[in-house]
Amino acid sequence: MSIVHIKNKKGETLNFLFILPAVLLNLMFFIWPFVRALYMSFYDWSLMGNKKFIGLGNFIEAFHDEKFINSLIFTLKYAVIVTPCLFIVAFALALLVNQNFKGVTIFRTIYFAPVVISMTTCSLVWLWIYNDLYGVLNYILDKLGIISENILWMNSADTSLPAIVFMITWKMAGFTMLILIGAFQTIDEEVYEAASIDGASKIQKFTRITLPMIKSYIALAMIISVIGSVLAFEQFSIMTKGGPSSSTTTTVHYIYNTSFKYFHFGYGSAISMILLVILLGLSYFQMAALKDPTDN
Amino acid sequence: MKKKKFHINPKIIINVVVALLFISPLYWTFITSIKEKAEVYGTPPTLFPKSFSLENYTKIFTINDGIYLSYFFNSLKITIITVFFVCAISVLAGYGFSKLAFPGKGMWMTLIMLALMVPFQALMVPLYNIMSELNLLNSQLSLIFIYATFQTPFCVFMMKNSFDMIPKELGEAAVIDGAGRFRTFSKIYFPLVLSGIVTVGVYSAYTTWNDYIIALVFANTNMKTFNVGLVNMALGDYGTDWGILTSGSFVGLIPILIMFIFLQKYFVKGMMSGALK
Repeated sequence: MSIVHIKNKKGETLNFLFILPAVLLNLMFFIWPFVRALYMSFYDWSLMGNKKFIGLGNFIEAFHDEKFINSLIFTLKYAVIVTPCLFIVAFALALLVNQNFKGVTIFRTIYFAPVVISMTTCSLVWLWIYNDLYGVLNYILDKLGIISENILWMNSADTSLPAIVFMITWKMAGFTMLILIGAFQTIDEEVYEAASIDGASKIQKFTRITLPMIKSYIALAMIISVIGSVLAFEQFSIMTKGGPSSSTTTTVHYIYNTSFKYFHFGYGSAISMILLVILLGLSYFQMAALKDPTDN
Repeated sequence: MKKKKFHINPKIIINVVVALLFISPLYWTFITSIKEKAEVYGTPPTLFPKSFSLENYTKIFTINDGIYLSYFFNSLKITIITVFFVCAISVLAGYGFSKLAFPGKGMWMTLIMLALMVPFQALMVPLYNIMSELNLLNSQLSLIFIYATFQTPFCVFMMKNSFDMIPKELGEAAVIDGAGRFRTFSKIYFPLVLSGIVTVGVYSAYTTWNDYIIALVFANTNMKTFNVGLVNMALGDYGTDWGILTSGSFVGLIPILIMFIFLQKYFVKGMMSGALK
């Protein structure tokens, strides 16, 4: 038994003081709202204080609410499009800076820099790039002969979605790149040497050794990107304001509008809980991917 | 004499091209911010500025009696307090969970780790009601509480790992020499976990400074943070002012980029452990 740990009750109570601030914060602003979210989701609860228990009413409403369903579909569509784009660019970047050569850290820093810039600033900056009249993108595309008249990027979901996916790829690829660099470094050089002796080509080494050995890191990078995309808010609320006619409204944006524009707190809580169930499902996959990164 | 063969790695050439592409959005923002108004709103856009003017910078600092600066200092103040708060709480809790015994330890740990999986966005509605009942809506305190709550789980986890790496015998030796619990903590452990504390501090500063949605929900009337205020100013009711948008964005970038350049190692460490938690 350790002599540091004072074993009488008084000593243990004093020990508890170390974690007390963290516990209090957690109980006040995490556990309490969590319990309350469950409770509120069973009520018709609006700003004016008329609270009425309606059982599963909010959840039934959610599944008939076309706007909510559309927001879910749009958010999933965004996640499904942005994740592979991000991954392919990040993979290419990781291959570019994986070897050691002079100045490699400078390039890594440059590719990672957009990750630390806030989503808000990125959204504003790219809004200016995508501006239909004075923006630089239309000018360059026109110069290259790709377009003949200016595109109004943010005026339709057909153009704003790819534009925002492009922006997010620029912003977040550096993050996925770092996960992949870390993954590459877990592979022992000797494995490649042994393969070379056996006469394996460069491509064979890549598909037979590298890819299988970093499989779980790839899964992890993808899940992190999906979770991030499911929570998307800033980029759409700032760049398209969810429009035109709610065609680019994400789920979080819809919860925000329901709760803080129309003050339907009960319904807002219920759809938050639906979102949470989706996120917890994804977190489960994240933990499964992490369980044993070397064993496949 | 043998001529030295000059050879450039093709990888470097590709890297230079890609790096220029990565920097170009920031370059475009910066040159827009130093152009005269006529050039900003001129077609075609100029890739190299023909005019030079600091009017956009003087504008953001003087508009509405310097409201931009007040947003900036609001955020700065909130960030500094949050970082201090989060570091203190997570160092204490990390030490407690790693080195001390107390009743219900496993349960408290599970409770705090539970918060790692639930993002703020899923709880913003009940939190809004709670803050309104506590009369904390539109206050800096509500933001600090929420930032701290959603940052501490990860930070406690990081600090616990830092303390776990220090052998127990080190503390025991200090106790044998007659040092008390708090003395053991401050003299023996604290210096050894300093790098963990910096990582936690950088993570907290970055997360707080870059937040948008929490500040939008809890402080959107008289007391705005930098990001919320900037969006409001730039995309105002009277149309977008691109001069203000670019100069305002650029000034907001500077603190975080400077921090990133000097504390890069800690940024990367914090974000990677966040991903692999």
